[in-house]
Amino acid sequence: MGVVDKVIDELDDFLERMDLADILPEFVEAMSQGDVHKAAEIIAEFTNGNIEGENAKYLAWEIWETFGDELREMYG
Amino acid sequence: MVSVLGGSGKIKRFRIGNALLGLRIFVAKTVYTWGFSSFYDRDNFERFKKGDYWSVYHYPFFDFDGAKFVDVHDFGLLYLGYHAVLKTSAGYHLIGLLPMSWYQVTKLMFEALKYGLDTKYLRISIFRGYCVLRYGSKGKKKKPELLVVTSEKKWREFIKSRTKFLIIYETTNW
Repeated sequence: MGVVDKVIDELDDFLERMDLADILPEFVEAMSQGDVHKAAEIIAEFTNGNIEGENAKYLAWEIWETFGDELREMYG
Repeated sequence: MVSVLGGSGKIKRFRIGNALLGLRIFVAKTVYTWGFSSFYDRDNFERFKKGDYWSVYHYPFFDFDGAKFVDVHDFGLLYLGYHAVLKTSAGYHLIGLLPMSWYQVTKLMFEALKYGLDTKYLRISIFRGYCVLRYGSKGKKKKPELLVVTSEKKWREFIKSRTKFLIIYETTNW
């Protein structure tokens, strides 16, 4: 495999790693129940602990504030 | 964060036997933020994953750093029709609300350079084969603020479609 192929693979892997599709049903369930702590834990696990605690809660709230209605309609 | 791929400054070279190791070391604060990618729908996303690029449909995204609002809005009116302009800490985000092929998006990005499109944004987008826009806050930088939308209906359709393309990603805060 050439260097360019490796770089492209890494980029595609990056896209898979940051895609929230797999965790959204669980995230929506938690936020719909007002359990921001659980939602933050989901985010912490998704990011391998790189964002956790208050930062994860803030990020969860920000996503929910913007997309809450649509996410509830889609996954609720 | 230590990176060997980017940043400014000279490359430090170390000789190990007959091999030469080059390192560019810089320090940057990493932050996590969220946003969305540009794929029109999951079918197009699946085609992308199978190696199709140019005919895959995307919502066209543009990141204009340091550009004037009037130039960004003019570009939207001239090339995109339905669009939205968002204010960021560094400039403006422009989102086309009518999907188009990646071939068309890339052609428009080159045109947008004349209007102040961020060159790094163009480079990374072309390299990736899709666009990403930040929609969350980033450290002390606020969320992008919606300034103009030329069709509320199209904007609602767009926002609804992004629920399938939400991403959390690591970036640097210089």
